Amino acid sequence: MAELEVQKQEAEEMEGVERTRTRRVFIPKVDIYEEGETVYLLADVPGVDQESIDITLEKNILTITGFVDDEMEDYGLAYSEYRVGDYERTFALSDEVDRRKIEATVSDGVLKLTLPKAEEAKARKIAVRST
Amino acid sequence: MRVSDLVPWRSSLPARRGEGEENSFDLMRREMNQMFTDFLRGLETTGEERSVFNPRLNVTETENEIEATVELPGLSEEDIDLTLTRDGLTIQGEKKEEKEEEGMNYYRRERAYGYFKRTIPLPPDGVDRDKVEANFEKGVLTITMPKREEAQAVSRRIPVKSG
Repeated sequence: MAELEVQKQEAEEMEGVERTRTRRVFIPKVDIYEEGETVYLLADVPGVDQESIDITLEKNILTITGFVDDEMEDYGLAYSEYRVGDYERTFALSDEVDRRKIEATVSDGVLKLTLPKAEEAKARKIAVRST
Repeated sequence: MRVSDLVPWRSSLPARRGEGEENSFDLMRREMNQMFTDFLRGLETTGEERSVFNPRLNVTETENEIEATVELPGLSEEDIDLTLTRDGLTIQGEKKEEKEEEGMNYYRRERAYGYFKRTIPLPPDGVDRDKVEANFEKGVLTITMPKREEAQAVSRRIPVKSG
């Protein structure tokens, strides 16, 4: 069952960086596509809603962090195929993105980031004049 | 064929009760397994190949109920179909791909889409069928199945006496 293995990838610990939380961290799967003058990023973050997600932009590094509640009650784990943990992934943005107009929504465990292109980066048609 | 299939101790998925109970050998074993998995995953997902949507299940059990959780990001309640039979619970649904339109340019496609069907075997007549509840929140489906009283009585703690 190779397909079962693919869904969640755990983040590797970066060299020289120590985590301050003893949670597992997963790299969310993303789709990135461009439509017209906007770039969209979709990330699968099951267990995360708008309150438990953090999106930061520092210079050109966009970091998505999602925190997942891990309710530990008095239960026995009977069968387990996935682990619960936080999500984190960083992206380097190009200068094309208008940083002030980035928008984010979360619904049904999917984060959608809207990254509009900056005015200067928009594709322009250059009229060719005949002389 | 995957290397991990050949490793005899990985015949079943490990059920875990808590980090505290793991000894260092368990930990090493798990890390080794993870290394195999990661390595092979790297081989599998080269190129444009998209992964198949095969949601994962967790099943937990308390004294009086069984709870199953499934990660289904990107689905809504309407996309999920639950069927309870005498000896199992079937979850099926479809994660629909956003229609690719003209002018849509993909840079990255890692998320999986498609139809899935998973069945959780249950002890025959073990759960109270009328009280099964399902809740879909934040992309995670939680199904709560209260055990029938007879089934609860089956798992009874037996006091150990000294003779």
